[in-house]
Amino acid sequence: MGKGIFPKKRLHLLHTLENDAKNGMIWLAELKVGHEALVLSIQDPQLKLALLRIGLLEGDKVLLTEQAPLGGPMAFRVRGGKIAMRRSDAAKVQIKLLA
Amino acid sequence: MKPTYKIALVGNPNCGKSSLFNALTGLRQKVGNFPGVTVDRKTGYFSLKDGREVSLIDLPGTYSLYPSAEDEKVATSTLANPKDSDHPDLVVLVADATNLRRSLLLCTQVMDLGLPVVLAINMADLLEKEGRSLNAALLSSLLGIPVVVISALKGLGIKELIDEVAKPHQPSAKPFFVVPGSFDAVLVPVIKKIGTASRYLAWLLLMRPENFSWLDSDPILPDSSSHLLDDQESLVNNEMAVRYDRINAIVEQVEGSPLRPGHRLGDRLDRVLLHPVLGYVIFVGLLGLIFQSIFAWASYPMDWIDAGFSAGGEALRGILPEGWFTGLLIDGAWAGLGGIVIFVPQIAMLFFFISILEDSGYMSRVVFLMDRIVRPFGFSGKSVIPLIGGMACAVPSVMMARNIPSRAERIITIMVTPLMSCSARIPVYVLLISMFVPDTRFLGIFNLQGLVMTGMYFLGFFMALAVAWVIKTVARYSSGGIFVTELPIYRLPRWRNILLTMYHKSRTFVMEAGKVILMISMVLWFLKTYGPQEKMAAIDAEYLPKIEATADEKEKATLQDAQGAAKLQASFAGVVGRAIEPVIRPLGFDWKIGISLLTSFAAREVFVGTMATLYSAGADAAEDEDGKFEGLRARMKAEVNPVTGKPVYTAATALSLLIFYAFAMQCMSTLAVVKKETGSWKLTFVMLAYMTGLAYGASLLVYQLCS
Repeated sequence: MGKGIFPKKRLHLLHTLENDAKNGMIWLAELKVGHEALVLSIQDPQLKLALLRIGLLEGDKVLLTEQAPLGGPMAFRVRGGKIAMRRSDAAKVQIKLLA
Repeated sequence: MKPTYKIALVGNPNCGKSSLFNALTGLRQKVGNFPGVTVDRKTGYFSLKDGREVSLIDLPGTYSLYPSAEDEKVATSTLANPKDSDHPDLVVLVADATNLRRSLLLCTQVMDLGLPVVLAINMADLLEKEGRSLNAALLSSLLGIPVVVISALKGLGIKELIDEVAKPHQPSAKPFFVVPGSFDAVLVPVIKKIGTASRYLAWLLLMRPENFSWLDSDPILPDSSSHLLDDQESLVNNEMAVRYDRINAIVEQVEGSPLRPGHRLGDRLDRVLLHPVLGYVIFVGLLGLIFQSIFAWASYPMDWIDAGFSAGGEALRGILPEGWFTGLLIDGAWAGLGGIVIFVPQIAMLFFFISILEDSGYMSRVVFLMDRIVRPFGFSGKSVIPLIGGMACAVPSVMMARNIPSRAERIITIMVTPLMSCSARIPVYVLLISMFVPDTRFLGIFNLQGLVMTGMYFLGFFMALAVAWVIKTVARYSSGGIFVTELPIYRLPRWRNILLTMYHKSRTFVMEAGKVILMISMVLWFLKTYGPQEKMAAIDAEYLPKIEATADEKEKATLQDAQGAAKLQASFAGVVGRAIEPVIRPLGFDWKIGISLLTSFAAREVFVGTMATLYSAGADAAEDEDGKFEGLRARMKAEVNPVTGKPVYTAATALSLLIFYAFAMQCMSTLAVVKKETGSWKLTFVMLAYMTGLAYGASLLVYQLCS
């Protein structure tokens, strides 16, 4: 909505994430730095294709290495190297926490 | 002439394809354009042992044959269209040893198109360093294609690759991904219509008809069975899943253990370079360093070029007979050419540094750091690169916007980049700041003039953000695009690649912008030199006798300067300057400034030179020792408005002029490049219009407020 640090969209995103956590679903956007996860499913087909093309598949392991401030992109170590994606996209990737 | 064997280099971005290209072709390469799109077309030649010539094309890096950006589309269509002039006889698929799985995705897609493929696994040196193994022979038999292991950087395996390429090759007998028979109803008509043997090509067309504009047939989809194609996204995702299943199985057998070369160092670097605080500090520091270097070092070659062109001009003047044609040639064309070439050191250096940042892998980290910050303004992280470059020169920076996949973001970036304070504005800034900002220290440490200079840079930057925000809001564009990028391994820059890039980009600049500047320089020369006949004759009649009369060299020079000034005033340019004076007077400008504004439309730095001529401050005024235009400044300050009796150049005028130059579009080269990159006259004019309007408005506001 605005240029503010917490625009409406993002508050909504956080709210949805909280709800899902209660239902037992965890999304990649919630992963904390230094933790590893297993990618279960990627809901958005466009995102799925974008990730497939860059070499990240369902069933792969990811490790969150860096997080840009103010809700910026997240950097992951994946099988072939490192990739970066926005939190809003990471919120569409369902994961299982590993470590 | 022997028929050439056409080979295409295909591979993921960052796989070392360009190193291989350079290793194979050396200097026998050329960079051009693909028709209709702003994508570089790199072609070259090398010879095989049997004497055959190979025409090699380095197709843009792509992750798969489902392209997501302009350059990937070009790669895909070249491979898919048998009638494309660049369609190869053989494909060398360059795979990244550290990311074999992903490279194989592209590889198997190309194989399925019915093209013969030789797989070249690059970065073999990293394999050896880690002591990992890769069973190339097994991979070859599992895939059914020849496999060569190379290290393009170290020059290993190149000979073996050339030998392999010289052998005859067939397309793969069996497709890697078998398109299910249930789709025959839709596939067969397509296959018949295109006349291909590849079911996969027909499948690709049906999945992404928009990428097949080169097929000028109508939609081939038969209506009845189109329900099969309802959910193309799922179909494509399934295809990828099937491919990856097979690829995973193969890679598992073939790789010794998963390769993680250089990760430890890379991880440690990232912890610092992507640090929430330190990362930004380092980035800004690095930028400062780069720009300092460009300004400091580029001035030497720039001075040589300047001197060289002046000397050359004088030499020509000595040889050629007097006359208008000589004038056109020397003061119009030659001087215009000089104006273009003098930019080359800065552009070359800018590309030098940016290539290093890209090649080392740091650039994607910059994109990562800046993405969140620039998003509210309609940019993505990738826009930062052209914006930074714009601080040196907008011309090559606009070209760099090609890397931005989203067309909307790309256009916003291009439209706004010229607002960044480019180096051509510096002489103007220096003249005006040194005139009116006292050379004192602020708070004891900061030089006030330097501060104001820095302030101008920030002004450009914030205006760029503001305008981008306006465009984004007006166009109702929401930056919702998917942003997924790779953060490649850090590596030492490959100097050959960097030098070649520098050369190619500089050459493009000179060729493209050059044509436009040259033309307009000549037009402006004409306007500056010629005026209504009687007036020019009258000036000659007045001054020539006086000049003849004196023997004193100094007095002669002074008279000649005065004559030059008078002529400029009487010329067509002067006429235009006076004509627009009413329009610019509210900004605090007089007609002399008006003329200079007109002439500096060719290139901003011309402003100072024109002012110098107008004030007959002599040819040396523009090249003062301390760079602060002492002579010119003194005369400008002394100038008094005949009507009001007050000085023409007040602080308000200077400020207003500064603001005008910060925002005005006064660079034909930029306009030329923007037209080329956007492909739209409309957008180019919009940019010209909004920048002129912005400059006028801001200047007006400032002058009225300050006076």
